Amino acid sequence: MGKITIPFGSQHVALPEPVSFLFDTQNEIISDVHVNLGYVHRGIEKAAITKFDYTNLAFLLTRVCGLCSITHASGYIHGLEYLLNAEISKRAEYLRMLVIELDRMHSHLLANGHVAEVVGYENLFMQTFRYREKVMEILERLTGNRVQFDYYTIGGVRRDIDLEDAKEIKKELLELKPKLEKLTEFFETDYTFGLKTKNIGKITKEMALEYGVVGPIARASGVKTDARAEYEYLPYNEIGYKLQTRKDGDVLARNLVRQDEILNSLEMCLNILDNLPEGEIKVKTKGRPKGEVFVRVEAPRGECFYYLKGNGSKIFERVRIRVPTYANLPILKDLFIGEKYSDAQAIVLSFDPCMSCTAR
Amino acid sequence: MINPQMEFIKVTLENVKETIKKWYDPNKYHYVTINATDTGEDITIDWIFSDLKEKNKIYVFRAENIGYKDFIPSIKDIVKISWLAEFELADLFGLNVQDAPKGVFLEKESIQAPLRKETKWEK
Repeated sequence: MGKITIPFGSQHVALPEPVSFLFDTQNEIISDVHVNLGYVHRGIEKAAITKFDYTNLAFLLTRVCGLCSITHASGYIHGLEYLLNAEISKRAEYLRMLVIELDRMHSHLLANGHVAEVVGYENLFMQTFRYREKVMEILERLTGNRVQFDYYTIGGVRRDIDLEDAKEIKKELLELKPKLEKLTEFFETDYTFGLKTKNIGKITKEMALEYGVVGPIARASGVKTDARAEYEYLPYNEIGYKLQTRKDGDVLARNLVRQDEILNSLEMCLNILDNLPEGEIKVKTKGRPKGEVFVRVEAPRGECFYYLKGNGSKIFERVRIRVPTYANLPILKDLFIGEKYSDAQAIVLSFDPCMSCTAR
Repeated sequence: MINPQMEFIKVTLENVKETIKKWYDPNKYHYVTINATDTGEDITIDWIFSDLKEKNKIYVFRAENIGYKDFIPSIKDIVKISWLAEFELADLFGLNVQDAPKGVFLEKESIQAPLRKETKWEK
């Protein structure tokens, strides 16, 4: 059979993101891929160095992404606090970790639910999203918003948590825990789900290192990398953080790593609620940012990198954001070749791509 | 507070490829990205890596005083995935990067080289 070219995006039921893949296929096997990323470049880095002073910039940067807005706030504010020489309280650090890990839980549940949906498990997709909804409710209770919560602020966090809220959140997390464990067990043991995800889109450890992939994609291939462990921006060693890896590097392994991380995040949240230090939630900061700093933080999708350069004025000279999807795109392009077109959706969604971040 | 251990290695456009080639080992170091900064008079380019073992360590290969029309070598035969950041330098800064086409990140009708100091928001 001759070559058939099939478009995938820029609007596709499996991936409602502004990216377009053109697959060249031969007998349903992908032989070449063309990627178009240039639909909606949003000019956020330009706005960051022209329109926003450093006190308001976090409001812009959290809007790089809806799902991992707190990651962008953390990348920016940890860098800014370093330039301002600001030491924040332990309580604020713990509250930051609480919201970051809840955010990771809901983002991972969204990704795993989407993979379930595209391999034909609509009910499982809804079940996963039902659990995600619980996490979103907790986030709303803590921050006042479901997504785009501007919880991070320079010198700390915006809202404290009272005893009653802490008790209620702990109760909800404990109720959620066995359900999430059951979900992990399902992904791990269901025969048909395995048929559609095992040995699909496989990345070996060597490939992962060669292509510099990040986050759950790298960890699913056995690479022990995580900015939470490699770059000390919050005291993760105090709250039971454990680096999660799997070995198989396929669609299933990526789902399972995310499930393992959801359970670890839940444990960390419980530990935070049990051991929340007393103290202020915000300290005052002085001065203007001068100098440069390179920051790595772990978004749900992997390492997010920030470079800030200040010259002592209110507006930064350079703000550079390297998001995890940006790091994972090159291997995704090469990974398609040789795979069946029918598996393309599962491969793309197992990467949990975010074009909103990439076209920042 | 974060405690980044930043190590700067000065390079030129002539020796950057050779320097990174001698140093880079994907089992030891993680390629982060390539960054450009427009100073208003010239460009500074950073090739950025982190350490897979040593906490907080960031390596920056920095080339300064680059002219806007200078030829910038690609490192994609050393770091396979650098092409994406190199394409971005060509689009967002309008730089002349080896094998980097323009138009991957920006459409033809959009404002070109938006991250250059001289580029204004409005057309």
